[in-house]
Amino acid sequence: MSREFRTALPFLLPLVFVVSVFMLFPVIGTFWMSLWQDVSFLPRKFVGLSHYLRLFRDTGFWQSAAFTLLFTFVSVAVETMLGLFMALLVNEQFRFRGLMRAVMLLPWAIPSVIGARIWQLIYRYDYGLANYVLQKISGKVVNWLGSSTGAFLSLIIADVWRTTPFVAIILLAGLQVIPDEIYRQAKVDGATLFQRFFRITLPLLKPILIVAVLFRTIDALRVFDIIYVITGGGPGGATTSLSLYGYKYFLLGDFGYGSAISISLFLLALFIALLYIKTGRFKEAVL
Amino acid sequence: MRTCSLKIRNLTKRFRSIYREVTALKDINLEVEEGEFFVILGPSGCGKSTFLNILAGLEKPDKGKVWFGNRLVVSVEDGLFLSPRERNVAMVFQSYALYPHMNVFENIAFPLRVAGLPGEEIEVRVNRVAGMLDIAELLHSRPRELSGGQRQRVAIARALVRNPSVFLLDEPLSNLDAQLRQKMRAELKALQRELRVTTLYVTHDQVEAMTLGDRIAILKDGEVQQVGNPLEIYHNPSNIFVAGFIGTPPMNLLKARAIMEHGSCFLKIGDIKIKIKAEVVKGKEIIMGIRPEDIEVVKEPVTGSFEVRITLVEHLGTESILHTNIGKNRLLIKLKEDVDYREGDRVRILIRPEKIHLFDENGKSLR
Amino acid sequence: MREEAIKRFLLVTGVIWLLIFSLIPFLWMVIISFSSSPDFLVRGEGSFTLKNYIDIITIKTLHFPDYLKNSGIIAGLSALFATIIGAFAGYAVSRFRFRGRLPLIMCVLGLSMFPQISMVGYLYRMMSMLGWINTYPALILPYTAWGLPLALWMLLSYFSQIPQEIDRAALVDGASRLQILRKIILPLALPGLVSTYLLLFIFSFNEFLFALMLTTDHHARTVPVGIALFQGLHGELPWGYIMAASTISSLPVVLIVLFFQRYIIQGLTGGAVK
Repeated sequence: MSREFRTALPFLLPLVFVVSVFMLFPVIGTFWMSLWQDVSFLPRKFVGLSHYLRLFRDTGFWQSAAFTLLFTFVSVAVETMLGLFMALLVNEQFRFRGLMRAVMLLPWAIPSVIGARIWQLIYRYDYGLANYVLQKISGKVVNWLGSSTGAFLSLIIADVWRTTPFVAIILLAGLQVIPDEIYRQAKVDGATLFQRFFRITLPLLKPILIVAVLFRTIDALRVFDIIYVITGGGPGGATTSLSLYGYKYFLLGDFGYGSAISISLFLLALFIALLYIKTGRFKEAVL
Repeated sequence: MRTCSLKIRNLTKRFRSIYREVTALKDINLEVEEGEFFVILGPSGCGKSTFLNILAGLEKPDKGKVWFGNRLVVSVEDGLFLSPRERNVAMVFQSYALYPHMNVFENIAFPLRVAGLPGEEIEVRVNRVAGMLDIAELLHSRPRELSGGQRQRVAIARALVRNPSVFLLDEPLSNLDAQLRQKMRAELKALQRELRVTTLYVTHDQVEAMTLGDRIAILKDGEVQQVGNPLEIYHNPSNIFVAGFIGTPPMNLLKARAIMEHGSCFLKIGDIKIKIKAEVVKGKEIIMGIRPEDIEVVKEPVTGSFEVRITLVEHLGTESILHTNIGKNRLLIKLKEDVDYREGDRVRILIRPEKIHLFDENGKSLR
Repeated sequence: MREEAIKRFLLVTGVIWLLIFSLIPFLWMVIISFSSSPDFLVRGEGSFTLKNYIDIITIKTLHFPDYLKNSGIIAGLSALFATIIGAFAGYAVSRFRFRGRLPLIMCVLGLSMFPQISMVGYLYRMMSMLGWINTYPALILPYTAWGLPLALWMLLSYFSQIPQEIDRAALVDGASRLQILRKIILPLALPGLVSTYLLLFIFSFNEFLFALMLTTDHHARTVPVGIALFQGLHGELPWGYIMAASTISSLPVVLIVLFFQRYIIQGLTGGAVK
């Protein structure tokens, strides 16, 4: 043990302790629980990996896995594009830019449950704001939460509203480290606005864009709050994410199977993170 | 497009902030001839970079007109302001501003690519200019793998590749070490001689200005102090700012009073009288300028010579600089050889009337 | 010049879009919270009222003031603990060049990517065994842990901006490491500490899943859970109450964002945004 490490240790111990006991250990504990039959009113019994085998035959699990992946893909794609536009916007010099940045942050800063409640009200079939506006414009209304496509779309919109600012902040950081002289040079070299965007900004932003997409992907995979509030997983389980699916088993008192579902989500997130890191040269981008 | 002359009329630029308004450029009038190497020299904050940015089309002036040849490119009065793209200017920035994600070839090719030139022609032109600047073997390297001097060459190559009508350089050598700077200076001069492209070169380094420029404009606080070729500026500075800015060490500037004795005009500094040729109003406060290298050290007392005490000697090997005082003024003397003087020694010096520069109390030249 | 016109057009439309997109849901929330009926658009009638606000504060069985108090205490304390623990660790990582420094940072940051659901099952068991379900510690401790990766990331970037020479000078002057941290680093990084604390507060204040699993009633239940589980007496959701509660609960966060926008963005981006 080096001297430096010994001096550092007392400063690090509280962090290591708290993080281990309340984050690392619970994940391991949840995995351990997934190996046991652990249902209320029944004796606990070690069942090995049989919960994981059960997952393969569980159509509800596959449905929610498919939904989770689709939700992640669509929401991250939309949020990345809109977030890039937002970042470019608030990177410009204009009056009230600070206020604009604050306004941009608001949807992300308030509790997700509150945002979800607002959208739930907006989506109401009978007197929601969305249908009221649609009715005025086109004369038609949409059954936002009653159909599976409508519910999917509703969740995407609510998630985009809430999370795009986060993407924008990360990309803003990336934009700010591109030196101004590069843009001046490109202007003198004759590049148009769009040429500057596609040939200078976008390539230089690529590393941080990968980071933003990774963060967002991992976060979208574990989506829970807005679905719990807005659709409750419905209609007919069509919008049940893996987190919600696992939670439902916990609620039923089946901790073993609920844990197996949770661990599989954990493994999925890990797998996708590793995929990004491998292909996107994540380390170069971060360090 | 071929290279062209430049005409600038009444160019004014102000920067406004909430607290104050700063005039960066005041009514600039300049003409640069076709193929000329023109240097804008001034201390930092004098507005020289702003001037270059306006010529490039990166900043808008508040007043004035600019012509590239016969073509009007800026006219605030007519609401005309061509973008950089429409001007065919090339610019080299202090930091070189190489595109970090492109290799050298793509960096140089960039102006041609955005102009939509066909690939073969790009290849030919990039290779030609790379050969000219001796960077052909670097074409596949990334900017971060290059040395300072190599980056410099790439930036110049990128500027020259499209045969610009005007070539703008913003302190391009200031990021290089002293040795390399001298080498690049010579190369840049030779290159410009060969290509004969109209060049505007901004610097705060008077040595660069003197060695590179066909003509120099000296800028201070947004105003042109003097325009002329290097020797004119050296020999006939129009005011004490120019006088003090050109030459190392700078010209000695001494407060003096003009007096008349026996029909001749003298300057009185402390208890020393120096004869001058010009006619000056008697009793007037004026400023006398004498370059350190124009002061002679004499062994024998000749008319007009006087003694001063050395307070410090700087030995520079091939030359030496003596620090002395006249009255309350400091006087530096530069000797062409390194003589073994010491502090406290007294030397007899002679200031020849024809070497003296005279300025009025506002600093304007009296010549 | 055409290019500048395009740019200007994009900027103006972008700003308008951003304003509408971000603010309309908030406006709607506030409007409903002050209206006597949530369906006034369709019914064509409705009036301004303060009843929703008065009710959620005065009706004891709704427990909204309790939720607010619980949330304030839990978020306030967990943010405080995470900031302190994070400051110790951030100091060590920014000052000592021990091996395993980078892996440690990467591991801690990686932990924040774990799905909450993969921890909550075991946390529930753990808290049950300790008899802590529906108590403050049941949330404060996991929130502290949950906030630490962010705290470490933010404080690390603030501490790294303080030159190491200052530490060396203080060491030469005879200060101990702990004194350096307390008397030099922390005061210098005060803006960073404040923004870290505020951001952690927001995160804990907003958290939902842990609170949903680990609390059972108004003794420890937090605002998000309260708002998510608000039930009317007759089945129909009491939208007026929900929106009034949402408006009150958003207020602290909105104020923090309006006043500390710069510090929050700087903190999140490691100081890259000026």
